[in-house]
Amino acid sequence: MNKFKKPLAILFFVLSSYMVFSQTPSNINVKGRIIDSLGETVPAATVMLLTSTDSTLINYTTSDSDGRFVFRSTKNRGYLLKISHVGYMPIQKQIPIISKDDYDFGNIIVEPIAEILMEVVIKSAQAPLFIHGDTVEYDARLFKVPPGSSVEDLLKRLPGIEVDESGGITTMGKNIGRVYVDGKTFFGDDPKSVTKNLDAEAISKVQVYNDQSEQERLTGIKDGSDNKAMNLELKEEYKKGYFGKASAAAGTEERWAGRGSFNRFNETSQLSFLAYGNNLNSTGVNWEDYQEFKGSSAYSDYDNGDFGFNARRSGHYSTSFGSNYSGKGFSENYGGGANYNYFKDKIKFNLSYMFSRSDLFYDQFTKRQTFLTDTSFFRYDTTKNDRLNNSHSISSRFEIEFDSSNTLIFRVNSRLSGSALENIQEQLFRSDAPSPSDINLNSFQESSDVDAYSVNILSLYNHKFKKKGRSFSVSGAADISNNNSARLTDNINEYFLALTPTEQLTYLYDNTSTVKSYKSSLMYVEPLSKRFSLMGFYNISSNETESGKIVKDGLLNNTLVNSMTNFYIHNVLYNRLGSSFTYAWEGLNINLGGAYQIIDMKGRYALLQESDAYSNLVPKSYNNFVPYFSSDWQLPNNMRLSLNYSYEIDEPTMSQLQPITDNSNPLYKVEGNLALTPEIYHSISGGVHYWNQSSFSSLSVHAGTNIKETSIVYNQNTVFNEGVGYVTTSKPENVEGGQNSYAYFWGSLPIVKTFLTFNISGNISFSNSPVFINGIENITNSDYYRGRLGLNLTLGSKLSFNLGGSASQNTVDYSIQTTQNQKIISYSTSGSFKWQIFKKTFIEGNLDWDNYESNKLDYSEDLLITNLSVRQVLGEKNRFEMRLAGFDLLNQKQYLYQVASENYTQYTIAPTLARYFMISVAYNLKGFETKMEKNRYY
Amino acid sequence: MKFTIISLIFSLFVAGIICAQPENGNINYIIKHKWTKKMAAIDYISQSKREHYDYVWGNLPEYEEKAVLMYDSNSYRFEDAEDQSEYVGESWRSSEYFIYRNFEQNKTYDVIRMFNKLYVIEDSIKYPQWRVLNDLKEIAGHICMNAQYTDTLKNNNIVAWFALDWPLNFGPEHYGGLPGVILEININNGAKVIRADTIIAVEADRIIEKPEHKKRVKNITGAEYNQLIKDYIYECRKEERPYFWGLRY
Repeated sequence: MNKFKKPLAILFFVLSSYMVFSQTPSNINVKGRIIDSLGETVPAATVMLLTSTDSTLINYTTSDSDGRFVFRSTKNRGYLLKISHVGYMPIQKQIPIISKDDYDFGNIIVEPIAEILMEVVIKSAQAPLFIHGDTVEYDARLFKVPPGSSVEDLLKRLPGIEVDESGGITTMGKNIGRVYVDGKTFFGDDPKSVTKNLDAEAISKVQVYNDQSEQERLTGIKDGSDNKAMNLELKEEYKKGYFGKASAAAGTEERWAGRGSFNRFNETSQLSFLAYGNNLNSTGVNWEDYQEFKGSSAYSDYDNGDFGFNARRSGHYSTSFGSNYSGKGFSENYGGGANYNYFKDKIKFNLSYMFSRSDLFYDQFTKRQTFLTDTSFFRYDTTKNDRLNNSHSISSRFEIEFDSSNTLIFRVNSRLSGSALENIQEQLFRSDAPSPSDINLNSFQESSDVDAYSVNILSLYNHKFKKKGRSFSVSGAADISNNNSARLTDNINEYFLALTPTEQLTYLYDNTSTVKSYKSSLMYVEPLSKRFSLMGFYNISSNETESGKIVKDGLLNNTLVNSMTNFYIHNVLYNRLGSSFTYAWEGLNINLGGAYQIIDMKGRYALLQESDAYSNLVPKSYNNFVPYFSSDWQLPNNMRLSLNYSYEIDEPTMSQLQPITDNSNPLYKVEGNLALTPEIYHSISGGVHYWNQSSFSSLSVHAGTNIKETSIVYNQNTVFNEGVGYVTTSKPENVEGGQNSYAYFWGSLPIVKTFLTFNISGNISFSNSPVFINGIENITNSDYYRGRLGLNLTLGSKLSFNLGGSASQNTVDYSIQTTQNQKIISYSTSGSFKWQIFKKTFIEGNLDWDNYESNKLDYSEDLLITNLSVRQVLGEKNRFEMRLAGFDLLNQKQYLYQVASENYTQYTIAPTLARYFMISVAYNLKGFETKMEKNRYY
Repeated sequence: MKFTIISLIFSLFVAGIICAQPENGNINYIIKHKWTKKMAAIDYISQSKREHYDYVWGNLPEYEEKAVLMYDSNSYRFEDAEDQSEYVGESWRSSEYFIYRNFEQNKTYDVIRMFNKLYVIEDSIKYPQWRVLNDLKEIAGHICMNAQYTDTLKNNNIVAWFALDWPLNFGPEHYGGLPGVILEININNGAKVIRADTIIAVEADRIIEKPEHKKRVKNITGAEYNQLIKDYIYECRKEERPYFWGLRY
């Protein structure tokens, strides 16, 4: 039987279409007359001809004064006729494919929109209700009910809906028989059980529609009932989401790592947890993980309440995980925390707790050559260092926007931290030509414990006036921090050149310091015209440092060391009143301003005992006028230019001013200097940034210079003391002159778009810095050049390569011993690839070659670092990932650093984590990507 | 009888609304951008990246701009309102984006800076295939009905709300072709919303002119303009770069 069905059907179709074709005209006229339910004509109604399949608009017209409309000579293909008018419910009529030339609807009757609905629709600016065909939808949020109200209370407020005493609901005289919640039945079929039990707070929309049409949609069969149904749509915040990740890894050399995170969120809050631990030298989490942890408050840590230009950014506090890792040694790290964000309407709240602990151990070797006026000597340092840091911090931030013109921010951050340090260092001093020989060996041991806490409170209020651009801001902040440390040092100096007794010094330090700082700022902005405005500000801050250092001699029954024990209290009062004039129009912004600032410093100190009478330091007051200029200009072709100038005055610190010598290291003493004046310099910088969207190319150049009128430098006096060795005394002093200039650039240019991209970057810097060495001025000129070229090659979506090479040269010239002038050159090249070898299998690898050379110190090193890993995404939902990785396959990695400055040159080597292999398993609740990802562009 | 009077009053009221539209006027639009929704609509960036972006940035306030549509009896010009900076020292250059339509001549004369070039797009007026739906809502004192289409070039869902009592077929930007003035455009469920704020009458004899521009421009047709956009989005797709950083949404 079935065999015949198909051909028969085709035959029937062909026949019938032939019949249709043969009998139907290709073009028809459609007409009609629109009247309302009272028989009045309806002129100016919009009449639209839509395709019957998907409502595509084909043609439209308006009804004439007699309510008539006509579409002439339109294709005979079946239509929907839609009539709409401001005062009437929209109506739709089917137009079938017809066999005659005219299709006349005759009178089409339209129903007026219930007046009560009309009124709401017209009067309200916020459109609390929509009409979708036969459905009336109310925006529940716009009908205010007291907290704790039930849905029934809400319904009583909706225009067009009536609720009787027993809870029965009617609309336009029709009974509402069914109530759905998010389209589903709730507590059985009794609508009252929903409307009486459900909280009105949870509802975002109320929709009322013909129940019959709903059933028709499901079954296609009319059941003849005339009931209305109601659907209650829940608010978004009652819809929740979560994501989370966990991973564990184990490797050779006893390497391990683990981390886990979980985030739960809804429309008004985000809650996250994070924990990690490893011995892979990763002391914190990466920025992306940090963003995910902080969620929407990741970028709200930056308020500091300092208004105006060049303000002291004191007390700035940003929360982050872990400390920066220097790249040397081996560390074991743990951390974790919880973060909660709440945001609703005009309130934003964040509370977060973080913990981190890091135990870093390193061995280090440094070779340094120090030049004096006519000689030089070498120092070889061998260091063993073990530092344990831990910290707990709690931060919270509250922001409320009372209305569009008033905002208040309140922030409290606190941190409790501690550290324990063990340091063993041997410094071997050796003379230079004519015959290098060992002079002395200074063995130094140190252990210390530090406990510290800090609290930082800030409040900030901003008011925008009705006049556009006029605003007022005020802030107040208090920062209190305390630091207690106990330290034991042991110094043994063996002198080799003569038979002198070995000198040993053992000190016990007990240090306490408390810093209290209070500050406030005001700012007012007055627009003068569309383009000009004037800003005035005032900053005041008061800073008090109280410090006590008690030093006891460990070799003399812990008797007090008078020369090293001291107490001091320093006060700095900072006042600044300024104003700036701004031009801002069409991408050109220019600020020109000035401020008068007064820095008052006073202090007192006591030697020996705290109870001793304090001596006053001579108070210092620095009064200056500081000009300021900044500008940026956005050109039409995506180019931005900027130019800035500022005049900076940095006052000396009180500890620099205090007439106390720090002689904790007998071979390197630091003195104070009461005669110091502020460091004054001009700072000029500018930049160009260009971007071309269509070629994906960009170029940025930034350059600047700092010209010093006077600067504070640590002049050095090194003498050779028979029986001791080289002893250096360093003292902060003012010197005239000094300058540094820099420029850096980076650019990217696709050679073949989306396939091969070329990038280039580089930087140049020149500095000349004066410093006095043994009373003779030495000017160090340092020129630094660095350039890098790179290529990115993308072969389809599954394979990509990066290649790069860079070279740098640093030339350092000294004015006192030109024979010591030197060049430090380094080269590096790198290559990496990513390859999606199978659908869920990825191989990644990289190779870096670095070369370091310093002819002065007889030093040259090549490092070749290679890493390779394979990962496989597993599971139906891609929730698992296995990864096998080899790090530093050639076992060459170590920490290297070289520098030449003032009157020395040195290099440092420290072993660090080299070759190991690791296997890891990761789980992602949302599943891992199985597509190779490009770089982030945001 | 009572009903007839009410309905008569009602009809007069409605007729009053219809007659109240100025023949020569300005419609001031407010354009709101929700960047996370724009990002969410980019189908060529991985789901996890888009979710991450939304999680971190989703709570930022919407970015707001102003624009104006000036019309006379047979043409209109749409452009961004002049400098709208709200804060001192934060002025941004307004985009060079001018849409001009002359209905009498059936001509477009759009001046748009795009990909670092200034283009003049001259062509006949073309409209998308709108699907007209049933929803009604009020915008700027007008009852509006909605219609939508899919912009296949940018893969955007465009919802328009057109006034039932204002039978002219234009709207903000290049949107038009509906039986009433478009008072709201909503792209991708709120990623960008252009909504009429105020409607102001001006002197009846004002004539809307073509946008003025520099002499150095590149003249292209509508088809060429579309091809430029198509090529750019294709490249962005390959680079997994959101196209809206370099192209008006």
